[in-house]
Amino acid sequence: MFLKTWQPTINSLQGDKYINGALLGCTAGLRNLGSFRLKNVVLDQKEQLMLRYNARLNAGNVYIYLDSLKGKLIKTVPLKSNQTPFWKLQTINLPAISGTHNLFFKFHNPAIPALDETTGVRFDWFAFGTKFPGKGKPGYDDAMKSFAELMEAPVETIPVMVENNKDQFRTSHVFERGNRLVEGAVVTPDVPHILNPMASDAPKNRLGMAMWLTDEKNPLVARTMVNRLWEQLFGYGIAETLEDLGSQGIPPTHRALLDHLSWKFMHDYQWSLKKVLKEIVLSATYRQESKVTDGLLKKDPMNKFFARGPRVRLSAEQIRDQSLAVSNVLSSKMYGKSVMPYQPEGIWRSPYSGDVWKKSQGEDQFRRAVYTYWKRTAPYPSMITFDGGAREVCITRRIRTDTPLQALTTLNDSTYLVMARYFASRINEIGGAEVNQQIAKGYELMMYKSISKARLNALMELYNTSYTKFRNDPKASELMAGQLEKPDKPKAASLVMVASAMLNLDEWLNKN
Amino acid sequence: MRDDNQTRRLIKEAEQARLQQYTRRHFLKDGAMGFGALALGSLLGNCWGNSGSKKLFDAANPLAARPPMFPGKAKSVIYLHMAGAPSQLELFSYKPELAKLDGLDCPPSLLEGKKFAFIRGVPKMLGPQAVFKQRGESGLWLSDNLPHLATVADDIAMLNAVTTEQFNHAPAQLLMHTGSARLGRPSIGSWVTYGMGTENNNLPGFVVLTSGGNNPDAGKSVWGSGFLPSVYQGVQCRSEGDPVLFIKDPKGMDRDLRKASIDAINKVNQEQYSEYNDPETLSRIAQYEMAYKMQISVPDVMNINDEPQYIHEMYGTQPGKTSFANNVLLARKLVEKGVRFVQLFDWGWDTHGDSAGNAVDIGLINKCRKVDRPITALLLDLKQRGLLDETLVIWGTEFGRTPMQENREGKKMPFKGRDHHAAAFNMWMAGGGIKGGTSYGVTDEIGYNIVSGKTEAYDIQATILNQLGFDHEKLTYESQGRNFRLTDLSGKVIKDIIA
Repeated sequence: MFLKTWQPTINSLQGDKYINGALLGCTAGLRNLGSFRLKNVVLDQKEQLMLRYNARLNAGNVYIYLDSLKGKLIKTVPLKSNQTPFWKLQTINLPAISGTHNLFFKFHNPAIPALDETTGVRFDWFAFGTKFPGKGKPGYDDAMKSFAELMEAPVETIPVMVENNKDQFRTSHVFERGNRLVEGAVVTPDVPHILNPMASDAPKNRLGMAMWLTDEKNPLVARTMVNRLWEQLFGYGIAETLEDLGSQGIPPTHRALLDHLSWKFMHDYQWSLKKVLKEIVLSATYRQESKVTDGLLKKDPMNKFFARGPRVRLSAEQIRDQSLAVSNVLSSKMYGKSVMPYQPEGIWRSPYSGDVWKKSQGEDQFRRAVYTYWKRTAPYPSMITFDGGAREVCITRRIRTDTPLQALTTLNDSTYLVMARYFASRINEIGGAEVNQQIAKGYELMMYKSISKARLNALMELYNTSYTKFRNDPKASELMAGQLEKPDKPKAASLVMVASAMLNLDEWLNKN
Repeated sequence: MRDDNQTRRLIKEAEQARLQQYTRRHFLKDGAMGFGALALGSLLGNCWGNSGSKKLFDAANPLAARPPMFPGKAKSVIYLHMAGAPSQLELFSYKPELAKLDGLDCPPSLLEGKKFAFIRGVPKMLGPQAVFKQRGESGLWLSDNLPHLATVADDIAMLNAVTTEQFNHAPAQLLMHTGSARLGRPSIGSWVTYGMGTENNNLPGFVVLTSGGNNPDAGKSVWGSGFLPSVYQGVQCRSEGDPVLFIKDPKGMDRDLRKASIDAINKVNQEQYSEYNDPETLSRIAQYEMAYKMQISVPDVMNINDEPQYIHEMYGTQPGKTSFANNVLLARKLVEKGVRFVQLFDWGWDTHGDSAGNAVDIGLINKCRKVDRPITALLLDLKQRGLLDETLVIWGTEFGRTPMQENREGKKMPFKGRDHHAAAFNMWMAGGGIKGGTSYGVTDEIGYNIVSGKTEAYDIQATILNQLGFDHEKLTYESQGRNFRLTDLSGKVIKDIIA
């Protein structure tokens, strides 16, 4: 655990009482003869100290004093040179000391001239612990060596939350009327007493919390999850306020159903999302047609009572992903870093920052929307337009809206134009010889049903109008058809027009 | 015949069902029209009173024009934000006493317990680096850095004692525009479009224009919609590239083809509607028609080429260039066309004195030259069109600058500059029912602290909403289990500057 996370440690941020030193970013910086303090370090059974630091010049020492700068010198640490790597890890043995103490760290390097203000040492973190276990056993040296190597291995790091040592827990108070300056009663980790209690053997930490959340006696998590799944499929939750299943939320329309599904989710399906989703999508309710009569529409405009199948606009991510998919360019690559698909110039323009949007190459242009690089203060425009949150704050539920800017995005965003070109080229290849067959094939690929005559006529009309135009305008047809190799540019350009229109159909943007 | 037990059970069930429907929220909501209707309801007097916040807008047409809570004096807002924080001591805040202290060490009383962005140790005081005169009948003190604005001094209500709690740009800008120094709250323009919609369906309701080479430090979050539906976020209109993102048709497509394609889309959608009968499909058809119209109206309103020569001279505009002046003229055109809220950000006012361009006696003067004429022209132009009465113009920034000269890292700077100062600075308002020729608030003799008339971001926000016809305490939106408002738990309308 420590090897993987470098936690728990005491970070330099917790240092104070600087003399000839200061907090530099998140590190404790000391000039020659400078010092600082680490407060309330529990030293019981601590055999060694690992510290991470960077010293500018060779041959300096750190002196560790107990309780005050004039206190007992418990250790002198000769620092290593700062050549590569920049940060040094060093482990030192500690004398046996019991109790909680303030430790003072003082830096001295006789090689540094007295008035030099630019050279010194910087500390990152301090880890107090026990010795590497297994001394004397076979393989100890090898294990120790590989531990040391792995500690310094240049790996990519991701911040994760790790529980501190018990002795590093801070005391938490109730803030009277929310004011952090007025400390009320001391509180310890627990769950709200109004809900089911924590199992007596559950640890009072995140593991215990997870056990409590998924306890059979707690229906709330399963209900919340099922309600969210329902919302994903039907557009609205059984209880519309996904964020609040409590007394201030809107009560569920089908209370028994919500309970039934959440009970099954917990017991029959053992928390398998796949299984509960399967049950919902195979239900007669979900498989109803979304057609609606005037009478029914009047009685139940929002389809709260599910007398018809759901019909909702897809999310920003779904719209992008399915258009990529039908154009046959969706990358199936999983995991890894975020990507930067096409985005218009000038979206990022942050002062005091050289960051730029660097367009990803190859299939990274066409990864699923979830892989899109996200900058909260300059979010990806087309997703924001389709009600994707800016992620500055947790949005518990996206409110779907209609604006002409959405139409402009799917009509004119280069990303969608490129998709239309690929889509056109796909249906040209596999759709048959005639244009009307190709359009019909495209519609089938999109909607999994055959095209009606009226729809085909409308799209053919667009094709013919476009073709007349492009036949007489080679330049325009070149621009519209794009760089893909095509023998008949006017035809290709006209097919792109049709493909683009198809990617804008209400049937496509909505779930029917 | 039903026996007594059964009847009792049925009554009990009915009662329970009723109680289940009747949550605390319902009680509170009904309160306004129930027993509270006597007092509260009569104050509200329209749909704003008893409807839950979720019902304020129609998701199918979220920008439909809606009446405010009460008749407001202003119909639209132009908010000019100088990002970086210009020095009030060289523009609006006349401090002859400070001149006497020029070059002296700052007294310790001003430094004790204070934290600055860059000042370290004991800085020197820096006297005003501009000449001040009284202007107009009101005798408003303005520096020579703003000679044009001096001619319209009597239209301005000066706020002399604005204060903030943030002394870094991004959080201070967020506080000024969203009421919170942290990310995630809706900006004032979003609140206004959420409250009132827009009068021109062919244009966005809330438009943002930026100049000065950078977006504001806090990024697009200063015009973001936070927890409000994203449709209410500001739409950035740009002078380079597409004026609004994706407004231009792809290359090779002319207007006839675009029309043909939208016709085809809508024909298929009409077909879809006849089969499924979903009113959402009708909204989609309208959406595509509006998009088509917007493609004409946006480039049209963003084009300043056709403005008469005298207008260009008045504003100092040069078509085809990105400039604050062009943006100001665009702002006028936009409100004229019914856009509700136009937000301008001009970057480059961070006069620390670390370069000539950032010196209060060099760079600041150049920046003033670029904004003085267009801002003055805006007030005059709105007035001559009869729009000033219904257009609230705000000149503002995120904080002020210190009466001390900045000494970054404790060292003397190459040029004269001032550090960030949160405690006291100036903003002004004009038009939209604001009383011209007034001023509000007093600072001490060196402009360091406020003496009276303290004005917070919340007060300015409350005043803006008030001029538009909203009670800032009642324009709310429910998020994460409680109702939020722009002014959080503060805000009072600055009555002294209202006509």
